[in-house]
Amino acid sequence: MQRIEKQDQVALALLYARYGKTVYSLTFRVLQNATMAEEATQDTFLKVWKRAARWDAEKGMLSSWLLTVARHTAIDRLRQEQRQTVPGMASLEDSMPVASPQMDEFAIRDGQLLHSMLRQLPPDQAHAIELAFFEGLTHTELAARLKLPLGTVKARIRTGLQKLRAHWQEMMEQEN
Amino acid sequence: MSDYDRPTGNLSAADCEILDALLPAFAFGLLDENEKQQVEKLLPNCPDRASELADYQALAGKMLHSATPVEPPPDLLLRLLQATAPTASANSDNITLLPKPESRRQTSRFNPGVLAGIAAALVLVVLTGWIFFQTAQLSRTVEAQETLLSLFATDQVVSFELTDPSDTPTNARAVLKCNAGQKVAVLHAEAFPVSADEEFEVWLWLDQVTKISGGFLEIDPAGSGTLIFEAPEVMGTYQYVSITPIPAAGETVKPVVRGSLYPTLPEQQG
Repeated sequence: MQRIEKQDQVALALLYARYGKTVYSLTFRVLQNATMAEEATQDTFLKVWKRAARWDAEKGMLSSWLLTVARHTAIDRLRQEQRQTVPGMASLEDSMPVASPQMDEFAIRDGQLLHSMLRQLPPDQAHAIELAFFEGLTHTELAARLKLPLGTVKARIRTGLQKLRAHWQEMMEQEN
Repeated sequence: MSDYDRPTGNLSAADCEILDALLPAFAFGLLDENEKQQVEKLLPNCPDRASELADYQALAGKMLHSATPVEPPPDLLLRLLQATAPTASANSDNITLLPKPESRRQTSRFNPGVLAGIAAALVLVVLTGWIFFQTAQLSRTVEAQETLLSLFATDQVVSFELTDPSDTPTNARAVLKCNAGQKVAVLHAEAFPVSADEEFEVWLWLDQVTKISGGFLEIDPAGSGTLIFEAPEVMGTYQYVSITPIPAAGETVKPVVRGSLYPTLPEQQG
């Protein structure tokens, strides 16, 4: 990242080689459109190129920071398409786990494990969680989108996330 | 008034229980603004919910990595490099080559024609040097782009992990990215031992006894380093790779890291 801060294109290419696919996968998940996902991926790396100094190694993993930028960029793009504004986008950035950059490989593996766990939830819960997270929707927005009562949406998300946490803890205990 | 909207003047166990209902969505950034403020007010008074919040925040971080892997188009890197390439005009606004006409008129004791000629010559010399400098920089950038593109423009790039093979392994590791049909490879090392003048050499093994040098790896004070090198043969020719301190003549040194490449063979020393 220090080399990218000094506008070293080779370093940027290496960063892309390592995370390009992960970033593109996330933007594609949010946008569900190859052309827009390509633009959002390019915009993500351009933001990193211009703002590399903003990454704080003490605060979190490089991949989490990069993917947080990618998620915001993709959701911004989605909202532009939908002519909406983006509310409350800072919360996840504040919640990045503290870990070393070497933990990136584990984070990618954990992400795929979580993906499998999501698939094991009741479909309505998994759908609500993924739609809200990947499209940056609040409870109220999600209720409007799904045409469901607000209480139903809150309950689906809360129950689904509680199950995810329980499954994750169970898996960690088994690994230990 | 819902449970979540109650005043927070008298905090009780019930108030902390409200958090239990809101924390998951709060960590995932899904709450509406009023609920978010409610959580932020209650959190400092419910310290025993901190670990629960941390759990959900960690899950939110993992969600970022949970999208189904999709291959980006091969030319996306090219577009990115083109978008970040330095342009010859990028810094031209900051270059002032001519003195201001007003001040020149006030201080000059020489023939204005001669002065203009000297200034023009100086401008020409400076401009020529600057153009050469910019051209050289652009050439290096283009060369780096072409080298990397030849490696990454296909979907056949493979990553190989190199680790410390000793009985008491350190955290030293490296990743080699290459394409079996290409000579270019990128090596990135981390957590290498750091000393004042230690350098490392990358070895490519053709078979169990024949090795050739892939180049010298410079390690920064944090123990990290990157090397882009072009091997004499395509990378599919080599059976494994190791990185050692640079050996003195006749000296045998143990590898810091080592890993198998395309065909897997029994491990070697050094």
